Amino acid sequence: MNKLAVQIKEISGEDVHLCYQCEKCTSGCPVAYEMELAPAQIMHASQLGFKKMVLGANSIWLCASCETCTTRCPQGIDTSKVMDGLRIIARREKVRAKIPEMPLFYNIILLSLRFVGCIYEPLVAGIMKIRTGTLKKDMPLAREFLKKGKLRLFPNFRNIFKINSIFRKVKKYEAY
Amino acid sequence: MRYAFYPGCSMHASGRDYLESFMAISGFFGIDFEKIKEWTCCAPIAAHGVSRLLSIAIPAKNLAEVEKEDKDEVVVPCAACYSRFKVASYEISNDKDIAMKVNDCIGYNFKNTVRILHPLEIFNDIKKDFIMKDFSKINVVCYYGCLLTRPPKVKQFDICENPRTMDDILRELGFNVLDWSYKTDCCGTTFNLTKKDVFLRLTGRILSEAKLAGADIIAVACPLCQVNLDSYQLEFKEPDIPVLYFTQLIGLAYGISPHKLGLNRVFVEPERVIERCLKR
Repeated sequence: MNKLAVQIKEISGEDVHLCYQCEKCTSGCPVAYEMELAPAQIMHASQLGFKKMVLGANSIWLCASCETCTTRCPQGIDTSKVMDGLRIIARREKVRAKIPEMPLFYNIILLSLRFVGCIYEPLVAGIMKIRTGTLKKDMPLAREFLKKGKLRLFPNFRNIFKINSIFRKVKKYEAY
Repeated sequence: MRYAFYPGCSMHASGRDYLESFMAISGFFGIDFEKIKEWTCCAPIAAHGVSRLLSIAIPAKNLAEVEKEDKDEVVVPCAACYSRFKVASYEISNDKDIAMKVNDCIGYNFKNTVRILHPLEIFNDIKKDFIMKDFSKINVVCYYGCLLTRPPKVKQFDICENPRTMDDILRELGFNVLDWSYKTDCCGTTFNLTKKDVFLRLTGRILSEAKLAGADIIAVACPLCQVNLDSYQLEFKEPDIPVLYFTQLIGLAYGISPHKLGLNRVFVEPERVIERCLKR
């Protein structure tokens, strides 16, 4: 097994060498049209150990985790978990993401979890909209949400300590 | 029957109408809920792409709280939370190493005995005598989304490629439920915030397919799907397919007031559409 396949096995428990390229994952994938490497190609490149190619592709960040591939794989590979594993590897090794908004989005969600105790939509959506330059355009949408009472302005902070204690303990085993 | 109840974050924000309608109809089914006292967020979306242990430990902490309260069953209305809970439970029972680490992280010897239920699995005992209105002229398509059924080995919820639980419930209530092929396709999740073009394509396709199937209303069971499909239509000149929670439709059939069901919170106003259908 090559280094990348070993890393994937360690993190997600999935063996990419089981894949025999039937491409069912690619056919079912709702975002394959936008991917530089389709899911089956990601599996193939991982078998060959083309680490730079796999981690540099936009595919790992485009995966919506809808798990259609996982459901249909005749070899029982959890393809979606492989994608998660690749994201984790890319994060640990600080590989520059092809879609930088995705790691940013993850960071903001983690930030929100640690400092607000939940996913606080105004914070998460606000920062993302500023970053993607659509804040002004989507302001009317935010107003609609507010009008319908679908925006929580005052979150409940009581969970911060509980969540943070789990975060701290997880750090003992896994870097994140 | 008394279940433990895990509300989840979105039920207090964008999914408020889900919570309101859920509470309004639970009386009809004679089901009693007790909120988990020490619940926390289930860490969806990002955690599994950052650390596997983190994404399992946080939901496990909540399941452990259910165990501590001596309950065997927990109802989780949000499909994302439901999914994280099921995954955590599955991984812990199949991976001894991760189970040990989780126990250490949450400071509790987790036995993993709690059954995780979605409201679709408990609101299925339809009481026909209480149905107030004839809704047979309203065409409904049921949209399940990704998280309820996939992957089948973990969720074990209905048939994964063609689920029928929601269809059966709504048909029993008198709605004209249509068949269509996009029941479990992806709604675009959080691409709304990260990659808008992908979001528009995925969400747009589900809406146009629902229209092609002849639907007046899309019934959903996930707060994120509801917000995506509903708010996307605000960009249309004439938004025309209301996206309602199946709990709201159950409530309507039982004659519960629309206000109690949170229908006023839906962007594409359902009242007008329902009236138009009933005049057919």
